[in-house]
Amino acid sequence: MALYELCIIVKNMPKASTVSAVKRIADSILDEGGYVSKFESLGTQELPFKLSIHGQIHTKGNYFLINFVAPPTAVSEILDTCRREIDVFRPGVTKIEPQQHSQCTLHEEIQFPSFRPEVLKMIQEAKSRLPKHLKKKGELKKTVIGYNPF
Amino acid sequence: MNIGVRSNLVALGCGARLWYPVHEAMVTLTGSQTVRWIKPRWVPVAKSKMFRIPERKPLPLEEEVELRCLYNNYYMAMRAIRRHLCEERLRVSDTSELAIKAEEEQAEHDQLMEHNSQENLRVAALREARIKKEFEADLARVTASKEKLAKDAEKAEEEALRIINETQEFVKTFIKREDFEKAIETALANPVDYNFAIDQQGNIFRGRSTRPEDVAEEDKEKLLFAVQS
Repeated sequence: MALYELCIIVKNMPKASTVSAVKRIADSILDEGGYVSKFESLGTQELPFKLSIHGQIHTKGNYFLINFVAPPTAVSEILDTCRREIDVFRPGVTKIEPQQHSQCTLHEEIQFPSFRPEVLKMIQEAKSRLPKHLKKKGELKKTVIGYNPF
Repeated sequence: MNIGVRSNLVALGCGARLWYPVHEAMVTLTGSQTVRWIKPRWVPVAKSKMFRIPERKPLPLEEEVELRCLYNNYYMAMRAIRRHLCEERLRVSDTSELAIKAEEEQAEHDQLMEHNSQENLRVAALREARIKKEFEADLARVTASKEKLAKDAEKAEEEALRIINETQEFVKTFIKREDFEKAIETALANPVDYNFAIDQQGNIFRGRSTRPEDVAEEDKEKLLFAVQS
């Protein structure tokens, strides 16, 4: 069993029929052996483009999110029932993974490459891996005056 | 052309048997025969030569001298070797000087053996100490790893418990079939809007259609981590 999020757009309808359409979807989830944990409405919105589905043209839709838990094998079945539903379109299921909290390292990443600790480390490693005869070539001997003028 | 198996002796011309061999291969294609003038092995010494003693050929003087010299050298060397071996045998025998020396050697050998055993004891003590140390190190390592394993197991158990608790909490949020309508209606009544915008000052404006002038200055939400530029 894994946690999923089902995103659907319900046809612009009176409230009662909207509720019954969403309820049908939720019932199908239960029938497939899943559990619904949350309903969320994102409100009635203008669709970004005209959609002609099931022989109808839609310009407005009621966006819904349904969080549910179901065995992975049942997800395709649930999606299938959603696709058969006339009042619902554009169903999509995404798996909800536990959030990974990581340290923000943007201030390091936007530095020049030669200042980034990561790159510096790589340069050092490349130097250490050079063969012996190449390693010594770059070095200039120090003279009495403290530096090499050539 | 076929002369037969026993055709070493071949009748020639008038039919007289000759002793000299005429070999098959010697018969050339032209019909003429060649004859090897050598006696076969079974032919005895000629009667006239039966009691003849061949004269001994005189050696050249230089060769004679050389040969004598070689002989002399050889026998001299052999005599010396024989004498040496005899003397050696006398020397090595039980009653010789060498046998008397052997006692001293035995004593030295005993002394050396004693030294060897002492050395062995010393090294054994060192080894014992080393092995003991290694054993203790092993024990320490094992206990440390045991502790670590126990700690890991405890951590894993805690993690498992945490997951179980979280899941139990989560299961409580499951909506029953009867409550679906109510839940959907509440969701419809409270639509959520996840859209937001950020301006250059790091202010967050929640909502899809919120305008910056709609939000009061003191209500403005700030980014938690603003990038230092």
